[in-house]
Amino acid sequence: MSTRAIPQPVPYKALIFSLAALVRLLLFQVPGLTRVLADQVELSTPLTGYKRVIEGVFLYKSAVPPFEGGACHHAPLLIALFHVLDALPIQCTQIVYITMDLVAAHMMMGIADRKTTMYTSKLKLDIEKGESTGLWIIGALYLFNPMTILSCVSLSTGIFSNTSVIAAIYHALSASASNSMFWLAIASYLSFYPAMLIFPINSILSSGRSLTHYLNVFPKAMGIFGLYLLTLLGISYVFTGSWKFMGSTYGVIIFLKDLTPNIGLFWYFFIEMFDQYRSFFLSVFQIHAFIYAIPLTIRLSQHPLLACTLLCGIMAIFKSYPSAGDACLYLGLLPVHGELRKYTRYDFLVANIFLYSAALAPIFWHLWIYAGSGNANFFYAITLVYNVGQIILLVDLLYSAIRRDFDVANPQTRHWEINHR
Amino acid sequence: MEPSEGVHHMNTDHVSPAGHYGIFPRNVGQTLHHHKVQELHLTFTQGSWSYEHWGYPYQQSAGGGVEMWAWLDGGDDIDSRWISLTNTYAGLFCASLNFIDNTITVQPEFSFKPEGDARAYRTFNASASEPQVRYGALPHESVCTENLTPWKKLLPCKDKAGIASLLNAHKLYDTAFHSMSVHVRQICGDDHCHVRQLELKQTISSVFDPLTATGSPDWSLSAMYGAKINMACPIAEESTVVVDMSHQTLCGISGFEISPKPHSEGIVNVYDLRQDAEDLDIRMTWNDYRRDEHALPEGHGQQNGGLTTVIKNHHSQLYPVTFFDTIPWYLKLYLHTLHIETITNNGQTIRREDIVKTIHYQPAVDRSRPTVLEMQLDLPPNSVTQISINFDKVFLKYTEHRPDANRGFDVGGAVLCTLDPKPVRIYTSPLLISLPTPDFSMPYNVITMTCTVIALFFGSYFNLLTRVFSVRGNAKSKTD
Repeated sequence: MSTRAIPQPVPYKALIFSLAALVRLLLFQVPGLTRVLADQVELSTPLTGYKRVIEGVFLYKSAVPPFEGGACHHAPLLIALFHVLDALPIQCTQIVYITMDLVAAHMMMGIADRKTTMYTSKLKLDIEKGESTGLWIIGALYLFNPMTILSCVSLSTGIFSNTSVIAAIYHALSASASNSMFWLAIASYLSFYPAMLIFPINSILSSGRSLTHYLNVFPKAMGIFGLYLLTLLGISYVFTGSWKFMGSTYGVIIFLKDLTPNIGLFWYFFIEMFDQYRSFFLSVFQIHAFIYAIPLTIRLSQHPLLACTLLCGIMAIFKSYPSAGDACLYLGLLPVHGELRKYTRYDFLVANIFLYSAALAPIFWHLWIYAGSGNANFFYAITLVYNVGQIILLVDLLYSAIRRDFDVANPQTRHWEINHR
Repeated sequence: MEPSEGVHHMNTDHVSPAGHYGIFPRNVGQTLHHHKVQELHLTFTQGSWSYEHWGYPYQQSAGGGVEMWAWLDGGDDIDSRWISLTNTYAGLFCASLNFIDNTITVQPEFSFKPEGDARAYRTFNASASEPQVRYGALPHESVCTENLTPWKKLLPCKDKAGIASLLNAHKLYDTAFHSMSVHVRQICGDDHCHVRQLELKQTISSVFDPLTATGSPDWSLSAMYGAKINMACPIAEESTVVVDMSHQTLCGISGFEISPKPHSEGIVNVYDLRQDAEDLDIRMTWNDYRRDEHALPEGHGQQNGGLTTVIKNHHSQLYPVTFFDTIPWYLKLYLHTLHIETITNNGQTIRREDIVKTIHYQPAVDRSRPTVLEMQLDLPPNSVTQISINFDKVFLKYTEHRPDANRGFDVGGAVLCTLDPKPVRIYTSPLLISLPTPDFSMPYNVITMTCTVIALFFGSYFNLLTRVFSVRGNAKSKTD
């Protein structure tokens, strides 16, 4: 991996960043908006809700063990962070959240930049020569995605895990294995699922060379990752004084003890599940979320960054407590793969499904919970629609990548009929 | 007594030296001995006591439903003994006490202190470990005849003689409030506690409102209970009926007549059943009736997913009380939203630190234990204290809902305990909270639809991950 000698200033970057910060600052000023958004199930899950962090901090300050009850499922170090932030005025918390978003956008632009460098040595289609997505577009698409803005204003703690994932990918592209594993360990520590990214990230670190090279790099990275993760858990143990936090953070993620609705597939399924089959389906669902990591890494060994993006998408659909913030992460990484744009078949459909579910989810929620004129099926239906939309998008992306690879390898077959075997 | 409503309390004590079951019911004595119970309190209540209209109850009642608490010998197996005890009494009283499991049982810190003589227990159980309290309440439980019959069977004369002959289930449950309890405690037989005695106290309170029932404030025992008291239970040492006239005397209310003439007259009229030869039917007739109000309000309301309790102190002195509330796990409380505000009569707001002495908070664990909020408060003279806390409603599995899911869940009220001058417990009314329900007819549909969506993704990805593109045959003919 070659590091760039002189970083070129990105056009419009300062403008976009200051505008994004301004929009968020203004929204924070709207009275009660944070509270309303923090109660929205689309934005806050039991694992990321701001109200629950504050409760955890309050219990900790009142010398009640925060992880003994069922109110707080956040990682202990987040409680520690908010314990500090709680002592400061609320503006400090808001600035931390805004900074997180800006840092994430900055690193996303860095990822796009390094990807361009990485792909210069690779074969391209004729029509792709000379075209590139402006870095500022990537930053702007992430920062001005309405879901990113609302997630940020709702003070959902998912932003910390998102930024850590982006940092892990960013450092991997900078060939800094230790840093990358550090951030990946933080992301896994905060929300468990990003641990599966270790496979494609190692693929980035071994820069798509031979399998033996990959297998040489992997154990070392795994060791560093494990070491960081154990350290984080150790610090948490020292902070809380017991291992009980494991049960109320990872235990809740894995065993789905809290059935609060969210935009994922788990909640209604396990509300309605027959008790005899609960553990069977729970294991199937959880294993299912992880099974794509290795096949995708192998199939996309030449495009590990795309494998990362797709796995982030899979997490956003199939994790036990997804929120709109999780979708922001992979939607932010999408424009990095601008070359696939020509191959996607359903982008209009997917865009419409996103808009449709974004409009109807809060309405159906209101009908069910407040108005009483709808029932749980309304909201369930809209989560299905949303997830089908995301599934179509992810399937379309993988198809595009494979199809493009074929065209790159066989430039003479343009306009030929292709057998899908 | 409030003239329009007759508050009736019955109270029976039987005391037996431990281990002798002459008149003491053997089933109670032996089950307590077996479970190493120091004292036991079991109360069945229907309706809620209106402190505003009826003042303080003469006998301790409880919030709606069934409440059971006991001090047990604190061995390692205390929890299993408690569960076994609740199951035993479920059988004994034909009540659903067996539903008091770990998700409901709590251990209060400051409230529900033992009422018996601790010496009695310690002297005769030198090896016993420090007793512990267990408390459980079922606000949903409805009280009916099948609970009354076993209660009556504990009496030495059953319902054949004495005051208990009034207990006609048809009339008794047709009242505004009904509460029935059994209290067992250990007391000392002499000053040095050489003799240990087991005391069983059975009480029944019911509130009749003749004004609503008959349209007239006049009442009589035969009209209310459909029976008269014919004689005292022959083995009773004492058997009296008391008509409390303190309200009329203190407020100077007149214009009524009571017949027959009591054996002793005054602020309370006492009828001694052992002296009466003929059937006793006390009646009160009004010539001139005027209703008045006296206030001691208590409230426990639901508001935007929050619980609010208002405590008023009408005394002109500082009043220490214990506030105890146990909230089921399906209401997720946020302690950081606990708000305590006190305003005195002259409009002065008092700081929270000056009121709350200690807080004991035990957060709920989903599906295994309820939240316990216990506070020791110093209520300033002539003040109103408002305690409020917010909660989130938890989404339950469809099997965890009751068959009548849309009726909502009963949540027991809070309990205020005072120790000074004598132990009094005030119960706020229980709540009915509706939780969001899933569609109970959907399990198969949800399983199939969600699985279809997952299969759609799995199938597509499996297909794409294993797919190889190739040029069809030598089909160059398609070129342009």
